[in-house]
Amino acid sequence: MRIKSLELKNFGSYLGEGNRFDFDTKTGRDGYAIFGEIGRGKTSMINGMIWGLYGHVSAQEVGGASRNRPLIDADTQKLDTSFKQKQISPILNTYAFQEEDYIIKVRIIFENKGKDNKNRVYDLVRISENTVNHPQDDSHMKTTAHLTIDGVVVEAGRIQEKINEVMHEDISKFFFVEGDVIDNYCKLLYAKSGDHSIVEEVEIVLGLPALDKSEEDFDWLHGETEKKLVKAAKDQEKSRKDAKKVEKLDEKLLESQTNYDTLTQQIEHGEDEISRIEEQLSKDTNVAEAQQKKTMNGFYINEKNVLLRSLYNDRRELLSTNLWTCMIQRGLQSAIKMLEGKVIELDSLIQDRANERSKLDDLNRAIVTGDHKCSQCGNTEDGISQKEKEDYARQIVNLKKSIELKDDLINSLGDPKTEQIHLMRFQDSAGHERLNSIEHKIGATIADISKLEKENQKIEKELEAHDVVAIANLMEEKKSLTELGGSLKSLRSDHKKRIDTWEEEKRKLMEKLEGSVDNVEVIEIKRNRDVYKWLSEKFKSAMVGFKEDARTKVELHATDGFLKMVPEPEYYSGIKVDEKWGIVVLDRKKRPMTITNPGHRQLLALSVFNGLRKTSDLVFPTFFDNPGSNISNIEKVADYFWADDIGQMVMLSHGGGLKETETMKTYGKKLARAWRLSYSENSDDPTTSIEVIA
Amino acid sequence: MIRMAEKTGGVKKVIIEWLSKDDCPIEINEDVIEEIAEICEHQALQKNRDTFRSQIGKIVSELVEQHILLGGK
Repeated sequence: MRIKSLELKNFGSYLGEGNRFDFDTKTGRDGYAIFGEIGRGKTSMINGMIWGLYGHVSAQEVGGASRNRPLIDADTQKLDTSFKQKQISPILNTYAFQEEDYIIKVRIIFENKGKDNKNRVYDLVRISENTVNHPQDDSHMKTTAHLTIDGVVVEAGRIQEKINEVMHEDISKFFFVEGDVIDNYCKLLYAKSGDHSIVEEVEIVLGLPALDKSEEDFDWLHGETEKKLVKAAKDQEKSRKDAKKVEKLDEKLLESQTNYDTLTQQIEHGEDEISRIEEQLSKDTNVAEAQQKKTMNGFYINEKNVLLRSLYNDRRELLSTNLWTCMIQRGLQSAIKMLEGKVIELDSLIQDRANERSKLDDLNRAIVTGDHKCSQCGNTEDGISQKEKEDYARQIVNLKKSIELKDDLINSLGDPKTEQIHLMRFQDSAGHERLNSIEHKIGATIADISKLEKENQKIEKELEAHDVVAIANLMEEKKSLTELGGSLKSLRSDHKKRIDTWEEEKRKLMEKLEGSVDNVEVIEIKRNRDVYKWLSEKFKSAMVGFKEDARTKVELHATDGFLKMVPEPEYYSGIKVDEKWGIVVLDRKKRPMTITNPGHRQLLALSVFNGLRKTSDLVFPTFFDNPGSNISNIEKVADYFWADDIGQMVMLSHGGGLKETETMKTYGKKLARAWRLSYSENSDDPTTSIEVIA
Repeated sequence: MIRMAEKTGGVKKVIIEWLSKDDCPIEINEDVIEEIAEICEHQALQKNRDTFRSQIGKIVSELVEQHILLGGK
């Protein structure tokens, strides 16, 4: 499918006629760019396309619920500006409403290859118009569609069927993409139990329903032929009894199968709930860790307190039995330490005094001889001045005073070295050292306890910010769900055993019945049944291989895209896709890793999303509206997508994403066409104006 | 829908491959296999399954009828 042109009238921010995007450039290129700030009509353009094709556009209300956008809403549109919206903005342009022009029109011309591989031109027009003079809501509007294929008019009742043949609505969301939608695919990253809505979407775009829906129907058709067979057997006297038995077994099987399915649903629901709880708990990993740390700290504090008590006991015991010895030894130790200090002081004084005496000699000599001999190099200077002599004399007097003071101090210190040696003879280290060791341990233990207590106080403060009770409740809920799951599985297993037994019984009875009824009609029924069974088995096998193959392809495409778009690809080796389409990113050593950077997460989702589109083999024009609001290097993304060769690629971006000037400078020549959307200059109303810039 | 069948195949090709394994309980030719594959692909997203069931039912009945007419059991 290739879009040739799109025309919008009174749709969203597009007022009046003449709002046309012409995609048919005949340049052979597939890249398109649409630049415009927020509110200038980018999303309206995509929505116009969706509305034109399917007749409705959904939007999210504040709070997240999704519903169809109304065509018209007089309560909202009577207000002065479109920004005073109470809920979802209506499709009809607000200024058109105020000017009483109630006609909304979208025209899409596109071409599409038919089964014969020939291109056909589709001209689709969808119009909504008022059925009363002053419409208030959608009940006063009537929407019609007109479609021609190669100029041949398609009857109204078949238009939607024809559109869905080209591009089914369920597929369209993979091609008309709003940036926010990409974020939904981030959910895949955490799809431990599989987010069913996303898994379903993924399987739809990959084409899986062609296998699984068909297989379900083959099973149904098989069941129907068996019923016919039993009915035919009932008509014959000899097999009537067995046929009735089969019918009874069928009833029992149906009941048991229903119970089995209900139990499976309940088990799956429980498992989903457990995953949800685990996810919530994993978000609070820090809390769980902190709680654990607090408990461990408490345990260590208790242990340390026990140790402390034991150390105090040891000290008490030591002091009670050897108190005096310990006290004397402690005094002795202290005296030795004091003498040690005196020895050092004495040595220092003696050294200082010697230095001063030497300096005194030098000065005396200099005054007497008149020469000055350098104390460092030994060279003698000739002659000194009278002023210098006076200065030397002053220094000599001061030095003498200092030497005398030092003599007094040295005498007062006595002979501490000898005293120290005497005292050391009486030193007995055994009890004293033990006491010292105990006291050291006591000090260290008290410090440890204090550190742990401070740490716990900090943790408690952090935990105050979290709902500890809620976490405990979640853990309790998880426990109950796990227990319930176990009981349900046991019940389901009982049903399975019964089903297996009854099916075996039925199989034997059916064999007997088949042998007893053998007219042409029954032979036909039997063969029909065999073919359905064969089809069902073939599709089951095909599905396994197809899923596996698709998963490998998605992995390859997603990895390729991610490594080309992510800023530092050397940190990653690839993307793995599990059976439930959950995504795991591998680091360079191929170990699973967590991506926390929001921009990288969006890139990852974008890569997976694109991997799915490529694997699907579907070729449709793609409209990317603001792909990745958190992605810093959006140019790399544009580069990657524009280089793609799977059809028209339209990137719509505001200034926070692709910059118009830079983008046009780099990619301008590679693009088929580029537009700028802005507010109309000649109008007081903020309505969209389209300008072709390349 | 256009699929890049020429490039990588897609679901239709997978169906054709699996149904061409020569182990059908009755004779089935390539055209019928392709027809079944097309119906499966075409009706994949239809919520109402009646059309699919009746189309497949018709094809299978015709196959069986032909098989019996040609002396098959």
